[in-house]
Amino acid sequence: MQARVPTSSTAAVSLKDVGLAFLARAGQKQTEVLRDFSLDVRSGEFVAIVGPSGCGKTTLLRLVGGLIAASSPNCRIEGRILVEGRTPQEALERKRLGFGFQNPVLLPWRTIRQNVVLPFELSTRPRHEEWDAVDAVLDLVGVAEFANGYPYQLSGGMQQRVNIARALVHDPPVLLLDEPFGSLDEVTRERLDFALRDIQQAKGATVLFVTHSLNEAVLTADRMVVMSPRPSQVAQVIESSLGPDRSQGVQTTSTFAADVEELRQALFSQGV
Amino acid sequence: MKQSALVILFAVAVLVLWEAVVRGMGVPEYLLPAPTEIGRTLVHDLPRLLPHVWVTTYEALMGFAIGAVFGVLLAVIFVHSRTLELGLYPYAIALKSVPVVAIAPLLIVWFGNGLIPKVVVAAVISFFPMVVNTVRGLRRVDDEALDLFESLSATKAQVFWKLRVPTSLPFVFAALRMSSTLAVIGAIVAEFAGSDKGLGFLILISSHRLETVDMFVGILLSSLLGIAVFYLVALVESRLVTWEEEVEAGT
Repeated sequence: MQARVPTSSTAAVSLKDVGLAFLARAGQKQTEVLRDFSLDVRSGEFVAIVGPSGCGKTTLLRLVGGLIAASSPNCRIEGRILVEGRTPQEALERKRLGFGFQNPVLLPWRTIRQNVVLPFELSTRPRHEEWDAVDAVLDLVGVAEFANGYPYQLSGGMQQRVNIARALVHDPPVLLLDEPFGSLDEVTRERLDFALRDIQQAKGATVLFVTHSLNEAVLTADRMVVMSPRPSQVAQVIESSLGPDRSQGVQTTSTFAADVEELRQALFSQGV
Repeated sequence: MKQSALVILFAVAVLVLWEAVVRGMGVPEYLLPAPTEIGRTLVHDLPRLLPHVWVTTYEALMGFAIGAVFGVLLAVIFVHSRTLELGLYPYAIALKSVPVVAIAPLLIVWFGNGLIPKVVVAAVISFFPMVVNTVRGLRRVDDEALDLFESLSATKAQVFWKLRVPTSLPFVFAALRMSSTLAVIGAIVAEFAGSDKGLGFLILISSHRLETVDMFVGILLSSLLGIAVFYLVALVESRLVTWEEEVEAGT
């Protein structure tokens, strides 16, 4: 199933025939990471991205997040072209994205609260409303009691909650998550998956979620995008058979198992 | 608490043994004075000694401040300009390998017997650890942290002040700790080369006169001065850098 690419204005993220290649170094061939990559993500949709190792999942997120530029200029976020020359206006707009990294990347000299206020702080002096938003999001991800603690006082799972909180705090229309729970133990990971899904539903956020875990993808996503090996394209898109509300116990249903199996087959056919 | 008790116990044991050897074997004072004699001189002659301590402290701290400020400045320049770093770093290394003892007499020729050559030597000797370690600290920034700031459209100034500077602080303080004691050494070495006051002068002149008690007092006061500035820096560090364990300074 090839993804359809309508130029609909309701798409929160729209990539059409995007190509990306890393420039050749001396004596090396140019690496083509993405070729004619097309994907539409609807506003408020939770999309998981899975694919073989090294297929460019992280690169895709960095591209959408504006950290790198595409070789071909058809990447749009909320209808604006992202990569053709960054004007200051575009730079300002880019502040609206939320990026959750593989590691929590918390600044050790700041308290949890001060870490989460960073997205506001870099554009303006945080005032009353901003601090209120920080406290609200800390409450939402369940780390309110550590608000005035320092990162080293928190466990890995708690730090990842803060990572998500910081990505969410400025109410970004698009949330880009690069396998944030990859280094956590199974139980913590599942708990955070449910929490993330709840938060996304509550906020109506659009989420692009890169993951290696089939369970995690099925548990959280409305749609699962399977990428092909490099140069990557969208190989297959799987619609979730689960309803929008996911609660503990859903992992044991046969619907869940069927989705995981379908995803596994899709990945296998990509030669994983 | 237990360790400090042990440390004090050993010190007392050594002093008692020292005293016993000197008195029991009748060692002449110009070779090895008894600890009680050194202590008596230290207390009794304090008004005579304190001006020397003060002069060396002043020279060392002035040099330390100047060396630290210029060291950090050069490190910031290096981090911002690859060209300057590539062009100047080899000279910095070459200059670093010149022993200060060797340039102190030259500085006396240039600047005379006064304050300036001591401050210059103390500054030069504190300068290099500051450059090397501040560069290390400013470069220590995590790639993902840079991505985070970039994804939030941070300006260059914001990346510098909110990310690079705090990241480098543990390294800067490791260098400050090292440089502070080096500055004291630098000031004393410069006093050896030519001076009429200071702890270096006290040690040198009492060596010429075989006033060994005064030499011991001078050595003791120099050590105490070095330890004092070290702990002063460590105290400031413990207030400012609360989030990371101690970093060892590299040279």
